[in-house]
Amino acid sequence: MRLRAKNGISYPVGDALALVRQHGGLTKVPKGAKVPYKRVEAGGFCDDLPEESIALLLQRGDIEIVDEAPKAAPKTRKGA
Amino acid sequence: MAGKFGGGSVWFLVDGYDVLTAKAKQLALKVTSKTEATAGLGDTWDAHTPIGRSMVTLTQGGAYFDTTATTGLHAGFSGSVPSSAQASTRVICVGFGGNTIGAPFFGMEGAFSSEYEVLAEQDGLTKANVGYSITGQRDQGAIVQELEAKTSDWNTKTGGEQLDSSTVPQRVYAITSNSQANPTVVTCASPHGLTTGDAVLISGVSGSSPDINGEQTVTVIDTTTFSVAVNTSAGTGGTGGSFVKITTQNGAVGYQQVTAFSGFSGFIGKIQDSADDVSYADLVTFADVTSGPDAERVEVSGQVDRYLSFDGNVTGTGSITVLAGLCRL
Repeated sequence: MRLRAKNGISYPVGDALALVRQHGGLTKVPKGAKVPYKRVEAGGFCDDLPEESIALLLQRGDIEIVDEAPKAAPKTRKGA
Repeated sequence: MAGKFGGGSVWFLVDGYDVLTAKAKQLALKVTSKTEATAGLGDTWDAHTPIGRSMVTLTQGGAYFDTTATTGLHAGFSGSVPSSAQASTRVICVGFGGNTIGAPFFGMEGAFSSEYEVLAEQDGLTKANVGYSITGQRDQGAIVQELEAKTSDWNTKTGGEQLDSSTVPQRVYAITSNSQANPTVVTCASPHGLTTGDAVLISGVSGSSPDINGEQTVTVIDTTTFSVAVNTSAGTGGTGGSFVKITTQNGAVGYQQVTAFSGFSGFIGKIQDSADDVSYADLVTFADVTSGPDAERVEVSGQVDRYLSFDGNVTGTGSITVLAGLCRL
């Protein structure tokens, strides 16, 4: 299963996410600290969304869960 | 001293024109409640009763009549007094508390520059006055992108300038008490104007056990009471305190003013909101701007979360000067 954006969203990843979590939210990060945000447009996948944001964004309809498992290969007749 | 501002804190944008570059001397924004005279025969005193409709008037006086400035008053308003019923309205934003993120501002739903007066005086420079007729409501909100020049993509999150709505100057609602019950019922000193699902930041309540101070989601009971999901039935109710609104359900209006634009082939501004102050989603998307001055008012419905930010996305190389703000409805 994958997460897909239905609306444009922005979120931190990696070191930026660690910094935001350390301070309990972006508005609490000391001014002057650069916190790069990743942007995903509607229709794009966002599998690396912070876990704490997934339920809220699903509830708001900003993201959706999609089944992107690969389809089974079509059957072919041998010896034809 | 907090809450007091002088002339240096005023800014005034109309359709992307910075009117104060023409050195306006006065700006007056007035809201009037329309009333009907209701005195009758035998009454010895006048009586007036509000009819439930308000009117906004805006007047600006004493700007210099400069026919050469491309961003001044005359460039924007000469010949602008509408003479057709199909005339389009102007987008006006005005602030008296400074041009910084979080500062309050007023936006007008629709405005016509109904009067444009040029005054020539002996021993004085020629000046121009403009009167505006406002059609619709006056929106009140906060700046999410202060007026400043940019030369590449940016967002207020990376710069540490996102906005927590609890810090925005707004009305503070007094709480009388909260009950010993499950859920506890909060009683306000005056109508709270809340909608079920709104979130408020409560502070100053004393004696409640468990404590109800902090962020709470409300369930409206009537115009002066609401409940929050705190069980005080085994504890005690509290007294006093107050709250401010931080998440609302009735939509919002976004304003964007572009006062300068050069080089770029396009610019798209977006206001984003967030409930958890970690991930943000697009709330208001303004139309692609390809020239300036430019201004737009966009209304959105539904929930508006606590934390706000602005994203600016440019195409090509150049420079743009833009201001944006959000008003909760």
